[in-house]
Amino acid sequence: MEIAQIVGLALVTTIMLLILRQEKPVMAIILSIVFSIVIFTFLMGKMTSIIGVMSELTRRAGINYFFLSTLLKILGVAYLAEFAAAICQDAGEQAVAKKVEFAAKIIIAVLALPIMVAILESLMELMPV
Amino acid sequence: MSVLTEIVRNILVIIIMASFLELLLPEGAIRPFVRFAIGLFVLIAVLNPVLGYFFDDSNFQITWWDYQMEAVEEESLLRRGQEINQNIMNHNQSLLKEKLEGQINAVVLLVPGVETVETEAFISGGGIEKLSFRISEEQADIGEDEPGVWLGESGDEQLKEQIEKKVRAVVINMYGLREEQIEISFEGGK
Repeated sequence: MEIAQIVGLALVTTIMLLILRQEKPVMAIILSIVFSIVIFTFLMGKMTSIIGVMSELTRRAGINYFFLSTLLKILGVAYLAEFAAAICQDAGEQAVAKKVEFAAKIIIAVLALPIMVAILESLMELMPV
Repeated sequence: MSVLTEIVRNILVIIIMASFLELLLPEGAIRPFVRFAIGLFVLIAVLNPVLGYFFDDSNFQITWWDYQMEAVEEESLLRRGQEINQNIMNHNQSLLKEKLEGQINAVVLLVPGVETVETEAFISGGGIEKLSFRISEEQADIGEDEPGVWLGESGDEQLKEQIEKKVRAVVINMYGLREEQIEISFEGGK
């Protein structure tokens, strides 16, 4: 019953955050970061099994593992950026949150760029000049 | 037909993966970007086999993204693996045969009346198939008080019989073999 543990932890953290925000806002942010890290590490094992199943699926289908690894990298970047942006927003730093989101968008674009260029070049080769 | 199969298979797997990953996507401003990247992968999965089929001579950039080991290469690797495995098995089997023969020689030499023995073990499937002994009996007189060996009037023949019986009993008890799996011959015939 992992969900019960997560819910319990979330409720306790929320109550503590409500109290800490009034008294010590800095501590509240630290608690929020710690909670994010705990949840992330708690679910790491589950994520490993998901990735294992997907790798097996791609291997059986005879598809290059590069597809999956790039998709997972993109997903990881998106998640980390969302976590960081949410923490920044909690701290009231909207501007920093926006910068994190911007950086994540650029990194995702960089990861997807070679694929886009490859598709475009192939299509250009097909087209008569 | 194989191209169609490849296209359908690739698209199916990529779409299942993409929809599954989309479920996992975080809600927020980054979501459309990730969806765009996933869309590119679907595009590649569709384009690559089609381009490969219709324009066989062209060197398309996207083929690299879908590089797969050649079936022939895979087969030769598998064959080499099997050869290596077979070599290891053969080596182990000859080692086992050598050790077993030495061990049985030592045991048979303990039987009274046996002077020298040459053992040949036939091994198959990790078990003893047959044991062949070439025994030469002691020429010197063996006293009547020698335990286990009885010398009758036609001493030589009976001694050989006694030795054979003892050797058979020892080997059968030690290695759990059947009578017909043991072959014994003596130097100078019998």
